[in-house]
Amino acid sequence: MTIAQLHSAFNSKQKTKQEVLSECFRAIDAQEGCLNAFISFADRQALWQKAGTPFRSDLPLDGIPFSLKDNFMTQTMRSTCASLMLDAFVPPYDATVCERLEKAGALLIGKTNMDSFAMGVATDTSHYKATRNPLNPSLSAGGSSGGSAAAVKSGMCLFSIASDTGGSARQPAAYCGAIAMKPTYGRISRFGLTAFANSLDTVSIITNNVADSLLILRCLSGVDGRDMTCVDAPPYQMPTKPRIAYMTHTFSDELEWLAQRLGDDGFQLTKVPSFFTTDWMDAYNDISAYEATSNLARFDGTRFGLRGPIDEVRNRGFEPSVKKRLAHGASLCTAQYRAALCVRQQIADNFHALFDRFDLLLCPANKVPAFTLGTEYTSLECDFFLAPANMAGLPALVIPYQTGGIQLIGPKWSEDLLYQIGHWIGERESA
Amino acid sequence: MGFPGTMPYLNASVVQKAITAGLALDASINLQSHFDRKHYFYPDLPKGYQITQYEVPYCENGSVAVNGRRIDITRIHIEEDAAKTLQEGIDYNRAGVPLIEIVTAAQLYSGDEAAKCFEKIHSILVCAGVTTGRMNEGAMRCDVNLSLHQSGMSLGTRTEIKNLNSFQAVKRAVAAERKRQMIILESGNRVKQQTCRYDEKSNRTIPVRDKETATDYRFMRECDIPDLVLTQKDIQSIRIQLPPLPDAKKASLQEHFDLSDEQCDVLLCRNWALSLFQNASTFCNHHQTLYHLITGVLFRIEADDVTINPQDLALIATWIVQDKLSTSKGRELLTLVIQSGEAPQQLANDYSLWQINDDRRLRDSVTKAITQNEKMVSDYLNGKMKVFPALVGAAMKQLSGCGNAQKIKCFMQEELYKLSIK
Repeated sequence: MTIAQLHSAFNSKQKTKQEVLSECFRAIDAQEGCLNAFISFADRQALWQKAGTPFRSDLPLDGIPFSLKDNFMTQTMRSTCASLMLDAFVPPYDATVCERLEKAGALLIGKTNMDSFAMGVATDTSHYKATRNPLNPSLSAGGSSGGSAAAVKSGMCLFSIASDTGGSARQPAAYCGAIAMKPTYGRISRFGLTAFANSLDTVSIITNNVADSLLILRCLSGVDGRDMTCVDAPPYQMPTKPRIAYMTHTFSDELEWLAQRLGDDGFQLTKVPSFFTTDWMDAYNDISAYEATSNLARFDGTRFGLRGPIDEVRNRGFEPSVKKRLAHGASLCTAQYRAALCVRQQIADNFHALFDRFDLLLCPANKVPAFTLGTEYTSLECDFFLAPANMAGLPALVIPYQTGGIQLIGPKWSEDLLYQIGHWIGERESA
Repeated sequence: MGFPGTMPYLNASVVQKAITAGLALDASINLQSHFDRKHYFYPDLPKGYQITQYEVPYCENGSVAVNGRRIDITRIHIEEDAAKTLQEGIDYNRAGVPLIEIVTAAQLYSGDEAAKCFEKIHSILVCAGVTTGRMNEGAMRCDVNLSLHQSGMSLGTRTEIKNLNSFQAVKRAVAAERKRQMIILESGNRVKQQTCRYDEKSNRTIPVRDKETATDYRFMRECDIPDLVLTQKDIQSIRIQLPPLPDAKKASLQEHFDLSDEQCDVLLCRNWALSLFQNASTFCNHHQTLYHLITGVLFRIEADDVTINPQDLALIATWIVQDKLSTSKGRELLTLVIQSGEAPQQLANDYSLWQINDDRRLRDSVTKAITQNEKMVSDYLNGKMKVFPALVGAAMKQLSGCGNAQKIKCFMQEELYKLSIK
């Protein structure tokens, strides 16, 4: 059921908030032991009490259980970023997204597992356990937001807020068969989200259906006075007859087929040559690592988290995957970073030129199909079709399709169009 | 504190003040500037980097006049403060607070000039309303960079003395550091590039941090703060609100009043004195007399909260000029007026402060003084000139100090001359 349908049921007393909450608890009890989607859980008693209050139709998310990736700050629970460095850290404040969701009536079930400091593609670098894929537990759930995707797909919560720096929310969602929206950079406040690469990090939404994603986006969008990069979305003119471009790759025959079916349904589709390249990924790799060394400099063992002499703390507290990324960032000089920024401009220019002629791009989500736990894949390989949207700050929606997922990318602020087409594809798929 | 997930926010009033400061220091404002991260590890830097403006500051190419010479200001930029390191730990309350940093060119050649330059900038910024200027409250502080070289040779290695918070400290610290560097250089060694602090008690500069190896600050754009974009309109609206600044005020003072350079500086330092002077001068145009009354009496009491009617002040000054009061009796009267709040006329009568100008009485006092001080008179006639003031004093005493001093001196000289030719 969608959130809207649930609210309708709450209203007509066909279902109660506590029933929905206990469904989530049952899913957790049945599958968490296998999946390891969560790091911390909120107190069940307290949640039960909250869910026992009368339904309020004026609160858009009243009674809806959700989870937050553990790199979002929450006062009520420790926020670890899945690292020993912050294993015992309970922040003195809540992230903006947490505040807004709770104000809208949503119930925070817990904090989900992730790759340490959001650096990874399999949620297997977590200081805690590795997260498994609910569709097939021998497979990885993807990363770095594996816990969020697994929790949503398995019904442990109805939606999850994750972060996406180079594909971190979209890739696991695609692997687990869930939906992920990475909005335009600047649409949702990042206040309270531990920064990895602050010019790329984007608060993202993982749900089981498009309607829910749209509803949650509305609740979270807009300025909060604490993040200078967050702005109110300017009005977006929805095209009446969207012109859709599509790019395929070696194993995306499914995409070709989807394009045909959309064409049959009356949409304007044009195949265009793929502009995704490994140069783009190298630039993403350099920029994200360079920014990470800056953003993680604050973990020095003096004020919070793991304490001790700085080199000892950073050696012991950071996981090997984090250290590797920081080492790469530290090895880059300013000139290399500048060169990567030039490539970034190229990426933006390419998309800009494309969106002069078209309203939407349909392309693959994953370059690498879902892999078994223990396989070594890097971001360079996995994020091939995903990172460029972060580099250009553009909105991207990933929806499950056939054996994998497909991605819709649009110009800035075009989330409504992405949802519209995404919804259509979803309906088509289930038809 | 640099907790994860926290983000910087540039507050609007900093930008206002920064533009005001730039205009007050005659600099040009860059319409587009941005912020950078300067990375280094130090316990007082919670994020591991400081947000500053490295590549493009918001303001450049200003100047300030010191001792009639033009000192260039190369740049002014906005940045965040570090935490405060104390004996017992680190106080993080200051970390992240915005400040503006004003950098002058290397054109100052003594501790005195450096102190004067600091003082000038300080007075301009206080005048413009950018800062309270209260250095003991941390509103403003100064770092001095210093090097020594032999004339004709290239500039020597420079050291930086940080966190000076008074004009005197600047002067003394420069002298101390000069001494320290001289000792090193004269013994044939080289000066190390270091950061120093000035210790007031021992009057020494003490090296604190080695800056020998150039730190790679890995400057990176601060992407969480959008570019600082200003319009000519923004700048104009601030420019027209600028109050008259010290140099302009001084020029105006000298144009309208008979005051010296130093006297203007003195009045400009205290707003209350300046307005009192200006008000009183509308009733009395004897500016020097007014000035000396203010500095001689009111400065002694630091009359911040003392109210004195400008008309009364003008009246007393006029009486002094008209020889109705001596200068010292004038001061006494002013003090009485302040203490009692009563009218000057009445007080002068009650305390018999009026000057005695009647020749007959004056000559009488002189005669009496001569008669009563035979020994001094004969000393004088025998060549001991220095007893003259004492004889004058004796005459003055006869009149309770109210005699016209000039005339008494005159008459005394006359009488003594008469005696000498007898």
